[in-house]
Amino acid sequence: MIQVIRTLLPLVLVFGACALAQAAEKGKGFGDGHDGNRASVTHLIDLFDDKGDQIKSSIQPRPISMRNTCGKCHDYDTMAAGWHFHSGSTNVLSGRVGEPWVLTDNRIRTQIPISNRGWKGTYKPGDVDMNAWKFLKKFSSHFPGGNYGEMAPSEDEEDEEEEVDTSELFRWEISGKYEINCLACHHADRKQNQSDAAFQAAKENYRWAATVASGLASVKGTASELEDFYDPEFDGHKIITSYDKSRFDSNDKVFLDIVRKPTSNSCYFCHSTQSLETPGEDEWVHNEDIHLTSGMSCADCHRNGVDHMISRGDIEPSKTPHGSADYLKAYDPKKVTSYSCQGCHMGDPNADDPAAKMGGHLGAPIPEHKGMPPVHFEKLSCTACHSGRLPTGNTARVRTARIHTLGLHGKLASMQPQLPHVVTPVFARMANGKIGPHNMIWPSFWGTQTNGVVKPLAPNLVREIAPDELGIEIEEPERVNDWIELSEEQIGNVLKLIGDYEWELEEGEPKPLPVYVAGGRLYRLSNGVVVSENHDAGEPYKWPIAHDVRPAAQSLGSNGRCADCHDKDSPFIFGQVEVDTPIKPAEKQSVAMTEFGELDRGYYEMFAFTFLFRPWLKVVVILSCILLGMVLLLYALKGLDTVIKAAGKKVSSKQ
Amino acid sequence: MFQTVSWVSLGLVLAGIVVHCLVSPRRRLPKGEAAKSICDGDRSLLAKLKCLACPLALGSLIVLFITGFAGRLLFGELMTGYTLMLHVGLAPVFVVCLGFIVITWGHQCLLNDTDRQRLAGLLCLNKPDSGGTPDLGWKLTFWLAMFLAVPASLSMVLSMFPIFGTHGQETLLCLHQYSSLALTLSAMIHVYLVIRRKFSS
Repeated sequence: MIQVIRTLLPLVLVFGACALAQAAEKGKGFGDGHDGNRASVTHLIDLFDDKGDQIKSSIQPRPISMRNTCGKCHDYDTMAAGWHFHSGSTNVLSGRVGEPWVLTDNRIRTQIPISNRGWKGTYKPGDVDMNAWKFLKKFSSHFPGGNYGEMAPSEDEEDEEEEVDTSELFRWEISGKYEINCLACHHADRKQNQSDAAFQAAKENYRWAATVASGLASVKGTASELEDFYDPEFDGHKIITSYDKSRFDSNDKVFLDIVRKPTSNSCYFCHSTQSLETPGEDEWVHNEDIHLTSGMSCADCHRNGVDHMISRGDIEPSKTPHGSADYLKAYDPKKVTSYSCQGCHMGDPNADDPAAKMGGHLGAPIPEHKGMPPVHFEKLSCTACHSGRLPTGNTARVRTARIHTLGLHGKLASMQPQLPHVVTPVFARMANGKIGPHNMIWPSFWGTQTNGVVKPLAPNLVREIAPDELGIEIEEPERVNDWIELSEEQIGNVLKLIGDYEWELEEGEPKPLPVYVAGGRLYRLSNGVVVSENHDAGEPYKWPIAHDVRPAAQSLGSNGRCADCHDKDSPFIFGQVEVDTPIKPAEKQSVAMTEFGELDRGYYEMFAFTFLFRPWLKVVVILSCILLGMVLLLYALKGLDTVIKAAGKKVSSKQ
Repeated sequence: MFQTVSWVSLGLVLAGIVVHCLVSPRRRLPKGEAAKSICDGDRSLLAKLKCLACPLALGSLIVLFITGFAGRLLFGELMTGYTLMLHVGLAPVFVVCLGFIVITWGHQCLLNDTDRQRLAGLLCLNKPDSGGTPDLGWKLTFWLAMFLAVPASLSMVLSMFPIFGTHGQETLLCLHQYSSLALTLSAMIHVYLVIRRKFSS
């Protein structure tokens, strides 16, 4: 027996040691679990750079690598699959239609919604000749890191792909990868400043962005100003990272105020919306979302696990979300429906947890919806009545943090773009068939049409083809309604120039027709004359909005006010949606709201007309019912009288 | 549930009417009891209105039934659009007609001694009367229909006031549906019995 143990013991020990070594090497995920203790974990940790070396205050330091620092305890690659970080990947989930990136170039009158998620009306970065590097250059001001930020071409690609721009390869080396900036959301220190990250990104200092934004260090030097062949080994460090030494303890550990649940302030940097009704000095009049005013935070509803697939609040109990298998892959609806409007306020009848069935989650008031016929809940999303700006006769405009680069301070603060004009609220039909409020932009771009398919041209190419015709060199062009006006004559001339361009075509491939898309219309040349027509490519891109949620008293139809929507002038149905275009921008152009809601205008006009008679209907029916009731009561009493008399006679006859 | 209840009850009532029509022999009424036409001889305005109210109420009930039940029973869909508008538009006409009818016809539909004895017999309060009365049925269905019209109308009018929440609204809709179904069934029987009585005279 002892001999057997002696033989097996070394084998067991070797096996155990291998398993431990493998786990230690992998080093992933042991900080991702939750032992049930609700106290926050103190993060007094070692910092590591992108080479895996510990950062010490005493030696020339490099910036922090999130992959190597946070990744010591947390599964970086699992997180990288979350909504914020996977849009550039090949297995991207489309999910619900959302806010796109917008490629804007005012000078060439271009605004193109960009997304890799395949949302209808958006174009993929590749469609406008945008690779990961160019994407970063354009959109890194409000970028969470990861994704395109880590998609530098590999060495294999360098060999295989002839099209890889060698200059960009050098730039990647200098700027480094823009890793997921975990601190942007989870660092509760008030020194965390995403505007600094945007500033570093503008200088192509991607490797340094997270470090500077965290407030741990300052950086001197600009990657974009360094030559392609810059090598710090030979040329010396030209981008200097200076850490705040007081933040390091005697063991070179640094305390980071990490929170599991991000603060709303962190979310706001990329997810703010500014109403342009009262901008600037009157910004203080705006209210926040009623949930935040009540003391909640964004992450109370928009929760996630390690996978960072943040719940988006749009999953209704017991329904396949929008008929999309994507969501079901990403979510267990039973888990997340409790955090939707309906799940929180009214309960999820399919939930396993009996408390979740009851509603009132997080103290949410259970709405009574007095006087609201239930058919409204089949036709409208919760947001239709409760979210966004209260509708008026014409849509208003908003600016969003990501599209209009809001929230930048210092040198970048001078940028105050007004274009693209985001119009809101547009009550349009959503993918689940209900009507809800949307933000919307009208795409405009120069493009080509091949076999009926319209594709935009990269703005830089248009600038190259028609610099004079589009007035690119003019320093201060006149603007009307924020646009530099574009005449039909100019359109014709630019289309001719694009038509004359020498395209690299494969054999048998037809020559693409030059087109311009704006204000919902497609412009093309027909026998040398510009003609326009409505076209799918010109359709506005709209995405549903849920915030800010207004207080119940300010919701449409609150306290049974049917006229909020069913009046003949109700903006909810009969409002006008602004058409935004550089062609005749001074003219007021609009489209009826009913077109977006796919509503029969004639019917709703007639329905609104009937509301004039509704008080009469109520009076007539109630009076008739009273009359009926009184007559019935009268005859019932008469019948009772007969019964009593008959009973009395019977008794007296017996006596 | 409502669909099933509706199909079953409508089927039973229609089948009952057909069976009754085939099985029960029509008895000739005594000369004095012969049913008179609604506006025989009387040319007053009230008589003319009385003339108009019954077919108008019946016509509007038929339209209300078709608009309210057709979509629900055939496709399982709630009323929307123009159908709903027609339904709501005709409802007050129907209710006003009923108000007028109950005033002008109520007296004629009162139960007489024979009806009361027969009713007591049916309710097992009295010895069964083998003779029967041809009037009891249509009189009872008249009063039943009038009674059911009240919850059917009030349930919808009340839902137009900000009094009831979602649950209350659903209950009111339920009440409207079932009371309307019962009203329709009693009206069907009533019309059948009235027609049968007319042809017996």
